[in-house]
Amino acid sequence: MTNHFIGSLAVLALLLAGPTLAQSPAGASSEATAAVQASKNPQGRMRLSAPRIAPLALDKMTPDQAKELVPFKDGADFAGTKLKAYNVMATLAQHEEARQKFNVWANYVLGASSTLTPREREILILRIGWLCQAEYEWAQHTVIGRAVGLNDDEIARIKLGPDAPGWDPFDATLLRAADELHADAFVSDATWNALAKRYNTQQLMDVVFTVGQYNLVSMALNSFGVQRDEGVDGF
Amino acid sequence: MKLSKPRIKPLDESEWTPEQARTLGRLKGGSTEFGAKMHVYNVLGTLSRHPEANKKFGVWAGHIMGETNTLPPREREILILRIGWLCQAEYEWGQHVVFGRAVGLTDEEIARIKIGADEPGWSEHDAALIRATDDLHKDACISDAVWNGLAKTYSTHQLMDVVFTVGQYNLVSMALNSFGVQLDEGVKGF
Repeated sequence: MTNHFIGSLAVLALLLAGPTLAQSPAGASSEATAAVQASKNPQGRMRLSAPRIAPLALDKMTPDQAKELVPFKDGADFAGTKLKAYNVMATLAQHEEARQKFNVWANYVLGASSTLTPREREILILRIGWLCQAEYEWAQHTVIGRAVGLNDDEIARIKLGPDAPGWDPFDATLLRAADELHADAFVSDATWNALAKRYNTQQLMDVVFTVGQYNLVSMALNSFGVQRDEGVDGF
Repeated sequence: MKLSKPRIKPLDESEWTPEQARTLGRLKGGSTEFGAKMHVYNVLGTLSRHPEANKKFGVWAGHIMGETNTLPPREREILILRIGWLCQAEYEWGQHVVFGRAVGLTDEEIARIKIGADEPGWSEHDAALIRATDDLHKDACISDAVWNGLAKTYSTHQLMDVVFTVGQYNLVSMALNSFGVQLDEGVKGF
């Protein structure tokens, strides 16, 4: 079984882990949410309202692609929607050789071989997705983040950044690392040293890889115009 | 350089596993016998501190720098040099000046990549490549005008590879800068 297939299954397993995962925030607070509403991208939500590169249609996929990308080919019902291939995967399938190699690395960052805990990884991914205003990324990783232990208040607070009240100091340091990489392609000494109090060399490397990878993913989602999957909330 | 010494040191030859001795030694094109004087690129020696990540990263990096990337090498190197400059990743700049020259960029063009797309002398298409990089660096999204400019000559695969190439070397710049990878011997910086 291929790595990328296993990776796709891992994501699906997260999505299917429980019926609560796909629901709207129930009783989400609060001040954080209100402040975020005020700071929304004035341009609107998705950067593009229609794709520049359309997802590969099911009838254009090779049998191998269909098997890998459309595990719910028969239209299995999930949270009230007909789940098909994720738009991001079907879009990348327009460049199949790139997609296959990309997925090996993508599944490292999102898979069990990354040395970061899933919750800390998702803090990094959500923050860089927000900074890049990549709504597709935000939407999917809100679902994954909830599945690995982020609560709705924390997810809303990721938009506000490391100085918002309420963060555990280490979580704030992770947000700062993402902010610095976004602004300057460099983690400052203060932030690096704070991470290194708890993280080993491989974890420090994975912080940079995770932010860099999802910065790349944000560029692709935004520039290709990948539209949100049905039934997934945006910003 | 953002850092004058490494935060994460390249793996020393004495620390190589037998597998790394084979793979890293071969990359330098020299003998893999222990005791031979070998020098591995500092970036590869550094990434080798995390073999599992390095192996999978290498597959994707191999798309960007290899045959499956649909961009002509000269155009690929314009993108890589521009994002390396914007990220102030001196190691990336130094190595890719060498690669860029090897695939047809002149010294004058390389110097002009630092100045940007509005500097006189670029073809319309080369300027669009630089603008695409600037858009992605600033806003994580290529503007309509630049996208449409590139789409005049590029296929869907090529448009996708523009974004992948810039995104990948933005990631590489973050790693080089933050790990403190130092210039290899004999390679000039900015």
